[in-house]
Parts: sequence; structure tokens; C-alpha cells
Amino acid sequence: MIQFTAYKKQYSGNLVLDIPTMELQKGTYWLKGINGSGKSTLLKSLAGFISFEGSIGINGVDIQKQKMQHRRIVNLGEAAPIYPTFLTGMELINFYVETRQGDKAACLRFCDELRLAKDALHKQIGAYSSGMLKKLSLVLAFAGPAQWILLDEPLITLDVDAIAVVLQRVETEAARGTGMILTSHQDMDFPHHNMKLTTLVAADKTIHTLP
Amino acid sequence: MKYAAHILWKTMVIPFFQRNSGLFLFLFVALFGAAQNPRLYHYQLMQSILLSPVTLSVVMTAWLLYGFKTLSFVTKKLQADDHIFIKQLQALAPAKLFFLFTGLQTILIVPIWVYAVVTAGVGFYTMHVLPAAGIIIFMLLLIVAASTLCYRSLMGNGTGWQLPELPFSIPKPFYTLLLWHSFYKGKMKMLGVKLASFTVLLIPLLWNAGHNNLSDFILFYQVAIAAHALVAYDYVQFLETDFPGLRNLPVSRIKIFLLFPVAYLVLLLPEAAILFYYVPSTGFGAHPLSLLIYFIGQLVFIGSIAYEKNLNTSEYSMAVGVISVCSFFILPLTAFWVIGVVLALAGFVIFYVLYYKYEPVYVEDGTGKGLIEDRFEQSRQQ
Repeated sequence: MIQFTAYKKQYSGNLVLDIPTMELQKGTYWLKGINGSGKSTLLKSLAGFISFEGSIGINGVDIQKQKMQHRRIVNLGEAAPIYPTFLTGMELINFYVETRQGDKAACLRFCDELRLAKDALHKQIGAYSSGMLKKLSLVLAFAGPAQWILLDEPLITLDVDAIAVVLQRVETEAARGTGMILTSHQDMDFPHHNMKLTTLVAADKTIHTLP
Repeated sequence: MKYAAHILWKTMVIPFFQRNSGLFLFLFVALFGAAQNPRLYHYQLMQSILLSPVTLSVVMTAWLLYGFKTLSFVTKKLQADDHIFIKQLQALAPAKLFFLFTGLQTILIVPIWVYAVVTAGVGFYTMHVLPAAGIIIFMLLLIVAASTLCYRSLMGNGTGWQLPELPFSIPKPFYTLLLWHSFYKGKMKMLGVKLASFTVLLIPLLWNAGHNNLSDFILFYQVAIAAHALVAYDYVQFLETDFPGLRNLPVSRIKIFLLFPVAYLVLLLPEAAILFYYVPSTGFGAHPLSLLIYFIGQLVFIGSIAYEKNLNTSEYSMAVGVISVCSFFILPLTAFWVIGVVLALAGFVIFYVLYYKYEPVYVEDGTGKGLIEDRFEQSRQQ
């Protein structure tokens, strides 16, 4: 469960998000909202990328206080991922697997499914196309035993086959009991259509839960 | 033409001097405020420049580096996405455009050509006509060459010269991350910092050996440290801009903090070699290792300051200038290793407190609707 208490985020004095109280039970959420409504800010707050006022508890772990425990249970896949261009994809996978205590073989299998070729993984990231970079970021987002996976626009820049693979993976993770929050401007046509998807709307500088 | 000059003034000249205000302040204090008799000191320095070909070469190298700095600033701005409108200058007549860039470069290198002209004046007055004329010609060539390169940069669409990448991959352990960044992305910056550092260290230790005491040497040493502040800032920007995902990983603050001293330790090996080779014979009474610990300690401290929330480059430069000037007051203690260790510990505490509160500089997104992360601006600043 994710609990927000008096959460506020401001950029240079401009209030972007204000969530007095909110609870999200473990499940799969589709976070919608127009550009600039605070979707990415919410995910970045939940992932520990940015500081904020108030508190957020994830499965009993206070983000601001138990930083290491928090980072072991929450993974974020960014909308526009950026990594050091001199590292290779494989070096990043090794690093993420090591720090998150993940399964390298599972990561490489996911790379195969996404058609991220092994020889590409040995190239420096500076040589990657935006689609390849997005695929790598998704592989890294699923690395390790996370309790919540946050995916910011996971489908942009992906080819049709890769989109199907990602949606399948989201469904599988959700079935395993991993909490998921996704933002997407594209329709998400899940292959088995049996996943309960709760909609959240970012608007008016807060988050609304749709019944 | 008047409006084009106005645009260049606002987009190039003002930002350049704002960004480097801390450095200029520090250099001014170090060169004019720290000497007991500044007029005599600079007269002797100018004579040394005019009489010694080695000193003249060193000074000209320093001027050339400054020229590279201004040129790099202008060409990066010319290629920046948010300065695309400057491409409109291509419509001007070539002669007018070249004249504009000549004026721009002349203003940007004011700090060095003023000194060069005074030095040349001293040379003509003391009948050292050849080196004085050489200095004037050098300055003119510097301005013309920089203006030509600016012109070519505007007319072309290149992003500048870069060293080729290695055709194979070498293992990159976590603690070497910052060093690899320097090797791949910060090569030219590192080269400039190292040349500046060697120059200011060799002036008192080699070229002017026997004529300095410890306090003179420390002035130069502090300049070398301040030059490396650029690298410290670059490292913080690299971690936050090029590897933001690190914040989502269960990596402890201690481990991330250790990236910095480890990088500095390797980075300062050339300076360590210079210190261990020259300092023992100077009679300064300071151990080279002690000086090296001080260098690393202060860099760690300065790097931690860069984690202050919303700190921009101008504020950082100012902070570095203030820290450097303040350092002169504690250096008479001469217990350099103790000061170095204290600074490193203070740096760790600052880093530990600031790390999770860090936020980059945000700017208006141009639509009037909100703010965006100032990544592009920071990339340019690098």
C-alpha cells in the first residue's frame, strides 16, 4: 500500500502537486493527465528521484527516512531515460542486477523478448537509438524483486512488437502481486484482458481516484 | 548591425562574465590583493615575461587557454538548441559578421589583453621591443583566430572537435565512474584544468624556484585547487544529469560520496608527482603528502557545496571564490593535512545532509505555463 500524508511538491516555489491524504492499495494503476499535470513528478517522488514535503509510505517504508529499504522495493522506468553514454547496456544491467539483487538471466531473457540484441548490449549507450534506450530502461525497471514498479510512458518510441511484450510483462508482474503505476497517453491493450486496472487522474494539482 | 551586437552582448558577453565572476574575483584577489606591493610585483613579473622566453611561453600558453575557454563558450552557444535564433546572423555580410565576432572576442578576452598591452608597454619603455611586439602580435592573432573559428562555427553545423572513442570496452567498476566520465566526456575540460594547474604549480616550484616562501607558493596552490573546482562541479552535474537513475538504486550515500575522493586521488597523481619532486628541495617546511591531502580535502568540500539545492554555476563560482579567499586565512596554521582532513569530513557531512535534498536549477519552460529542469543549460555550461 502507498500512503500519502500532507504531500506537496514545489519547483522553485511553484506548487505542482498537493495530496493531503491518499491511499493506494497494491494493484495496477493507470495514471492519466495532460502534459504538466504532475504525473512524472508523482512517479519521481515515489521513486526517490526528488525531494518533497510531507511523507509517503510504501508498504510501511517511509521514503524520506528509510531510503535504502525504499529503493529496494520501488523501481522506476523513466519516460525519457538518461544514462552515462560511455557505459554499455550490459554494464548497466550488471550494475542494476548487483545493486537490486536481481536475476541477470531474467534480464537478458527480457532483452531477447524485446529484440534488444546481445551485440547491442555490448555497445556504448551513446550509440543507442531512442527506442533501444527505452527498451534498456524497461529491462532495468524490471530488474530485481521490486514490490512496486513505476513506468512513466513505457510505450513511447517502442515498435509494435515491443509494445506487446511490455504489456505482457506488466500483466505477468501484476499477476505476481507487484504493484504497478503506469502513465501513458497511448491506449494499453493488455493481451489477456483480465487485469484490474484502476484509473488515477492528475489534475488541479492533485491526484483523483476514479471509482 | 547595432541590434546584432546587442543580441551578442546579451547572449554571450553578459552570461560569460556572470558565469566566471567567481573566478575573476578570486584571480583579482590572488594577483592584486595578496601581493604586498602589487605594483612592484607586477612590474617584476612583466619584466620576467619580457626577459625570459620560458616565462613568456608559459604566460602565452595561459592566455591561449583563456582564449580556448572563450571560444568554447561562444561556439557551444552558437550550436545550442535554445540559441538557434542566432543562426539569423548568417544573413549578414561576411565582413560585417567577422567584424562582429572580432568585437565579441575582443571584449571576452579583455582580462588578458589589458595585461598584455601593459606588459608590451613596459617592454617598449624598457627597450625590449622584440618580445613586446611579439605579445601584441600574439594578441592580435588570438583575436583573429578566435573570430575566424566563431565565424566558421556559425556557418557550419558541427558541434566541435572531439577525440575518437576507443574501439573496445574496458571494465568500469563503480568507483571509477567519475574518472570514466572525465575520460570520455570531459577530456577537453580536464586538459584545460590540468594545463592551468601545472602552469600555476610550476611557476613557484620550477620557473621561479628559490624566490618564494611558503605563503607565496600557497597562493599559486590555491589557484590550482580553484581550477579543479570546475571538475568537482562537472562530476556532480554528471551524476545528476547523466545518471539520474542512480537515485532510484539502493546505493548508500557513503558509497556515492566515495566516488569523489577516489576520483580526485587518481586525478591528482600528476600534481602529486610535481609536489613530491619539487617541494622537498624548496625549504617550505611542508610535506608534499600533507599538501596533497589538503588539495583533496578542499576539492571534496567544494564538490559537496555543489549539492546545494538549485545552485547555479554563478553561485557556485562565487562560493568557490569565497572558499579560496577564506582559505588564505587558515593557511598560516600550516597544518595542511589536518585542514585537509577536517575539510573532507565537513564535505562528507554537507554531502550527507544535502544529497537527498538536491534539486537542479529549474527555468521557465518558454510557454509561460511552468518550469522545466535546466538540463540543456547545464549541459552547455559543462
